[in-house]
Amino acid sequence: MLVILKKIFYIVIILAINLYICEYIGNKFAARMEIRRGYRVTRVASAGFPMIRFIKFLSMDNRVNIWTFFIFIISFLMWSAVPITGSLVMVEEDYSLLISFTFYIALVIMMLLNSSRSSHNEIFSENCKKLLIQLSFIIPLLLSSISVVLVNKTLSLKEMVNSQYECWNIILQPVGGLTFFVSMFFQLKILGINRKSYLSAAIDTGKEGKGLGRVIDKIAIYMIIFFLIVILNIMYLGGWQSFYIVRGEIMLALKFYFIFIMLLLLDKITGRVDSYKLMVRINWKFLIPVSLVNFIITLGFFVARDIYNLI
Amino acid sequence: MFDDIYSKIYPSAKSVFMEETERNLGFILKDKVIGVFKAGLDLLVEVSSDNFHDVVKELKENPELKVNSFQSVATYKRDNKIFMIADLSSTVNGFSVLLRTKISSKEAEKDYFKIIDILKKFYKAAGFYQRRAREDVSNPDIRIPPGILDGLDCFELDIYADGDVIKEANINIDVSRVVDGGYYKDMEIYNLISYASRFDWKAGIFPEVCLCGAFEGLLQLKLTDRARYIRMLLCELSRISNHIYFISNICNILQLDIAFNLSLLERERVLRIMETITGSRINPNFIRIGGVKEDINIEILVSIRKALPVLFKNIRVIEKMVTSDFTVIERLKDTGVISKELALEYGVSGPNLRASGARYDLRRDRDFISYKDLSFKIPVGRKGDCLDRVSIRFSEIFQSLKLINQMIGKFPEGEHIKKINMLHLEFQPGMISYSIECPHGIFKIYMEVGRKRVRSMIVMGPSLNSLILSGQILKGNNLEDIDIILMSLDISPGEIMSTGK
Repeated sequence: MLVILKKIFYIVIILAINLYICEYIGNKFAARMEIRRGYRVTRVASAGFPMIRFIKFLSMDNRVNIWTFFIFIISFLMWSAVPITGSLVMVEEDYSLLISFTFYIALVIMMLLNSSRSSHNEIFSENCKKLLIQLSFIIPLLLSSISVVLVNKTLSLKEMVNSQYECWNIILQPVGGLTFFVSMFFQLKILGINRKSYLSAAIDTGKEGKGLGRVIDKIAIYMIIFFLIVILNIMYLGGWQSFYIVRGEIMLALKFYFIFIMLLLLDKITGRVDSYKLMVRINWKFLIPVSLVNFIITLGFFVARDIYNLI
Repeated sequence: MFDDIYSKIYPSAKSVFMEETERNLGFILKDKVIGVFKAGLDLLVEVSSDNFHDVVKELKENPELKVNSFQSVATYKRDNKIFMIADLSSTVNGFSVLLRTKISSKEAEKDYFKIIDILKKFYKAAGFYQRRAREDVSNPDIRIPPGILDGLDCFELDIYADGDVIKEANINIDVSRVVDGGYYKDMEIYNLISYASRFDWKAGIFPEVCLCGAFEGLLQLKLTDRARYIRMLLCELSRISNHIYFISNICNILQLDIAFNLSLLERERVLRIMETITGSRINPNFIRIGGVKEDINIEILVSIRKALPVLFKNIRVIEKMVTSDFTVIERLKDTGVISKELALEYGVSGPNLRASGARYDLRRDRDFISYKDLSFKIPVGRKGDCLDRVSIRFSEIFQSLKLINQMIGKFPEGEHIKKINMLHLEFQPGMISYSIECPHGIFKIYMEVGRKRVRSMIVMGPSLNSLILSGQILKGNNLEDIDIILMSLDISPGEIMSTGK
């Protein structure tokens, strides 16, 4: 019992530190751009800035409801089956991929329900549409994950990392890795990394409240971002595999922050994708067909090799 | 030299045409009107409210006149009498008519709406001014209050939607009205000029040029070449700054952070040049009757010439960044399409009209300042969608840079102002209307002047026409496109706040 509590404590600490650092990096990027533009240095985003923002949020009007509570719970439950390192995992399961993906999709649906509580028509329709766009971006992500499952022949995230000791899955599944990254990136664009989120940004904030509910929304968005980056690392980039003399944990952290900063930069140079037309163009006409073809090729390769012994 | 002598002796072709039209109009509408007068390059037709319907019908349906475009409606008070002015224009024959009618002060509101109803029969756009039924405004599906859309804090938008498709959009500009015609009444003229740049704070030099141009028209004052070139230089710099600001707004909506920041940096570069010339960035207060406030020295011209290639290069980079992104193209293409006929009917002008395919620019079509000395192209779009409106602005920036380069190449010597004693300045009492091509369209000022002071003044900004039309083109679009369509019309809140109604 104590061991599990200790692990939970470590995981929460790691998540909290990451939250602080990522919020700091995001704010710093925005502040640097504003200073470059010639603004006065009123918001340089110093080390204490995330904390100040948090307190500012809390001081606002609080309107928390039952969905906010569920979002808060699930955003932490999502980490129950995800191994952060070889030993740091709350529950060791053979189906950890399935469990973690279930929690992740449940969190997105919870956010849909949370946004639909609004009595404001525009917020309601806009948010529902954006979340449905978000859900449709999960399809290529799932398809490329199944290809990886076929390659590694396991549903356990820990075993996936262990089976990459010779070469990372990105070398075996480059197209799958790319589609995973692209679909992840567009999901994060809809969630909003360092600017105001499409989901929680309400036109009439007076009706929606600005306080604790908004903080929990923000935490949930960060949790989804962290979760996807960690899953990408585990499935394609070797997870916590050590690199020569560099320890696995440090490698994981380096890869995590590298991807996070890449996402921030990409976020700055690409436009918004909350329109239905764009979603069709990007997702249904590009990502889903590509990931489907990748999955069929992978499946065909294993069927030909393992069942018919052709290769 | 011959050109100069010619322009001194003979009037311009435009004014000869207007005199002819005045005679024709007087003949056609002989029994129905009180009189036809010339007010600048527009014609003022004085009508009694009983004959209003017949006159409008004749203007619209007579094949020789074909007054097909509705511009605006405004009211003003003079000597305890209320007058109403309807600005109509013929895009086929290229002239505009101001219909002035007196409405009784006791039942002003009733008469006003009666005339609006008459106008509405012939011009759809006049429906904007009609009285709204209480049930229409009481409970819309979505109400977007002013200040929610970035930079468009001058109107309230009521939307009736079916799912996320807009069925009807009503615009209410009463929430932001700050000035009426009476504000300018009996104001000292030098105070009025310093106030003018507030009419359009996105490009503040143009209202000043327009106002001073109107006074110069009344005084029949001819400017020196140097003064004209300084005015043109400032106009083009202002046009560039306005268009870059427009692009930055579009980038902000599309959330292209880097292009947004880069375009604001370039705007800063242009505003600094304007600051070195005028001493102010947004409200220049630099144009005077008879010229400009101060002369430009050679160092400033050299520094502008040095800045031109840098501006050109950087704006090209921004253009590439915006127009090469397929997410941007996908979003702007086929969104908010304005056909040429619709734009002309609603009196839209400027880049918004040119994006729809009509090649109409006052700089070329009328002898506005000295643009006939310079060579430039008028960029024209095809479809009239948001993408066309954005790319037209980019092309206009490059044309303006080309114009500035030409101006600096042949900047004339001489005096920058004709000295006038403002304290003893007297006008021939009368009315004048003067219009210029500002970055949003055709900016028009109508004034009635007494011997020493302005008796009444009406500002007719082009943004209001674009705003009225936006109510039409929003229909059938998705809710998520509201901000991009409204922003692509480049609406200037200053104009709408000071436009008379």
